[in-house]
Amino acid sequence: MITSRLFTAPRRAVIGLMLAGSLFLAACGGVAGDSWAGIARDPEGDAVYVAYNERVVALNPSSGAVQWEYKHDGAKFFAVPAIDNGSLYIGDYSGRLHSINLQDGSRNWLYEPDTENIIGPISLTAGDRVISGVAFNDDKVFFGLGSQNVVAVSRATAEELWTFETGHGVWASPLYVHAREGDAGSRDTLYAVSLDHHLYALDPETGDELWKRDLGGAAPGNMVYDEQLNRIYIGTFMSELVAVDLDQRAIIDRYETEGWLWGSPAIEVQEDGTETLYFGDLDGYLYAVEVTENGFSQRWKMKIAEDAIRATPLVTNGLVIVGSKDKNVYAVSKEDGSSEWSDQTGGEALTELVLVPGSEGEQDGSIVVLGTSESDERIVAYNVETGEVDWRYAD
Amino acid sequence: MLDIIINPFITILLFLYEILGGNVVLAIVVFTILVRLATYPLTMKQQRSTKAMQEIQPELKKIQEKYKNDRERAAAAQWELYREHGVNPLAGCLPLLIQFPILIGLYRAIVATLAATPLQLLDLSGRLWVKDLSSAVPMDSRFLWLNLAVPDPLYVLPILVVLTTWLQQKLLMPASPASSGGDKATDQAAAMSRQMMMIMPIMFGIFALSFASGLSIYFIVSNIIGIGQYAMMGKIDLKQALGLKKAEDEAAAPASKRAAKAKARAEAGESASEPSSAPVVASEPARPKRGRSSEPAPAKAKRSGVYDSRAQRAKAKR
Repeated sequence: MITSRLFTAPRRAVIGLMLAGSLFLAACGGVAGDSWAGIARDPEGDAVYVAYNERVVALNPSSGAVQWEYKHDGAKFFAVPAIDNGSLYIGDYSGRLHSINLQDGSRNWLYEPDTENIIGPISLTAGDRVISGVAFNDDKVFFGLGSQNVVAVSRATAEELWTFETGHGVWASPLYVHAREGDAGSRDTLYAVSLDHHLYALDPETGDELWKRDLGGAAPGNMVYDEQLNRIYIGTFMSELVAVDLDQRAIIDRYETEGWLWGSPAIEVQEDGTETLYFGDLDGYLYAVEVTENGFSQRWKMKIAEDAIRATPLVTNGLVIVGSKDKNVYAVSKEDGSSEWSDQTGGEALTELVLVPGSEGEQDGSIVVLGTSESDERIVAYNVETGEVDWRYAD
Repeated sequence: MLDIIINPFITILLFLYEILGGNVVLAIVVFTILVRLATYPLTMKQQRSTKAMQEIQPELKKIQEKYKNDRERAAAAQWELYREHGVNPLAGCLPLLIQFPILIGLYRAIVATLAATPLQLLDLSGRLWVKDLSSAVPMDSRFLWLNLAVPDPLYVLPILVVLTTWLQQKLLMPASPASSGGDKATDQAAAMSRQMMMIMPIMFGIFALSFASGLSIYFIVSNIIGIGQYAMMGKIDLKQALGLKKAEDEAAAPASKRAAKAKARAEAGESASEPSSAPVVASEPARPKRGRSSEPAPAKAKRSGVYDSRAQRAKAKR
């Protein structure tokens, strides 16, 4: 008798609402934001800059105290801030680029993309996002858009100078490479990788395509430039680290990994000129790979985390330090990958890691700053040598 | 736990994307159709049950009026009515519960493969059952004027989501006739049904405005398939759904037919000691015969859904 009353029209209405609500929660539950915090440090200044959700803050690297805070109506920040010549540049989730004064957090200028509204707020242009960081030359700032474009704007006026269309989103920061001295055939070039699997070489003055190469898989993470060998290294979702020789404009080697690659490798150059790349994959493996004339040669490979290592490792003081989605930070020996110290973080540690040298030099009293997905521990600073927490910042 | 469903769904969706020429909309449409086909038996059971419940609503209303002061007798009469018509009130719920994780899996797979945000793209890692499909990640989200990873700037898809959701709701839950005898429970139920028909489309419309437009494609295709499946049951009535026919007239029609049949049976001396236009639940119910036996066979309940289907089909044909 009771059951007969359970499924009357009002009950069905409630059940329907619950289903829809559950669907909504199932899709969105458990995720605090759309991305992780962006962290950067001014090598010439005394602050760590953090971009997360609605604000950009400057933190004192010794204490984590807030020096200034920047907000803008409706802006959400998840990109990595870029710092140059007294200004901080960061894109937001509305496709805009902000230039902020490093001294006080005031805004220098704001670039807003053109939108063609046809009736009221109805626009032919879908909203766009800036997920990538930025690159510079003397007079331009370059960045990628979540949809498909690479954009160049004037550094002085924020005027849009050109856009270049790729086949998919550009999430990685563009890379500006100056012409090599003594090489007459060399020229300033802007490189951009897209989720459409391609590496593009562009003329930074006009945005014209110079050449492109198919990497075989999407490349959401940043490229790294090897100045010594004039190469670019890019990780892809085909579980490969790809070496592109810029002289030959060709892929010269691919190093196969266990999982997808997102973060760019950290390059360490020995005194004898030997180069080693350190990078992690999304399956929790960490790699040390030596760079040779012909490509790559593995030194060691170690499964150190239970979940993804997304960001570029930090190599300092004989250690390779990485954060992981498994809510841990790991420091291992750069010689063989053996564990030196580790610590549990409050949330997933997916942000870039920033080194703040100690007052007496990099080898003494240095701290590594990283971010987590937990608001109570948005930013954590660890002593490099001991692995002890130096300070925390909650937002 | 849902990974058991989501991961193969993601793999299949990416596979479809690869073989359908990298067209993400086509992949979502085909994928939605495949999943809805796989869950078709469950959906049919649920819809049959819902429709059967709708058909006996006038008789239920009369029972409530007749026994408004005696809840126990009203409940007994209701239960007898369900038994007579082969309706299991639980049957509409069980298929829904089974479909629920599948629908969530489908929804999550689409969100994951569109990968509109870095966290969503990161979440895709390790989910593919076929490693070679990594080359299809993330899917190209551009289609016509749309970037399927963000909401539709022209609001075309949200409007279509609202319209198709409303139409599906309207067809599955036609407006209940208003109580003439002041039955508060029935009035309340009708009011809630009407509210539901407003709330659900608006809610899904808000989802469509807020989330990736790829999801709107899924909502629209899913609604159209739902309407199509209901139409396949053969009794779709667009006039009534669009309010061109009075709901009360429509609702009264099957009751009148049944009363006429009961009267005919009474005249033939089969049963129904009390021939009237009222439903036959208060008296001994006329039970469908099975096979050639002249004895009334007791209705045998199945685990769920409409039971005694052979007798019901014969009755429907008549």
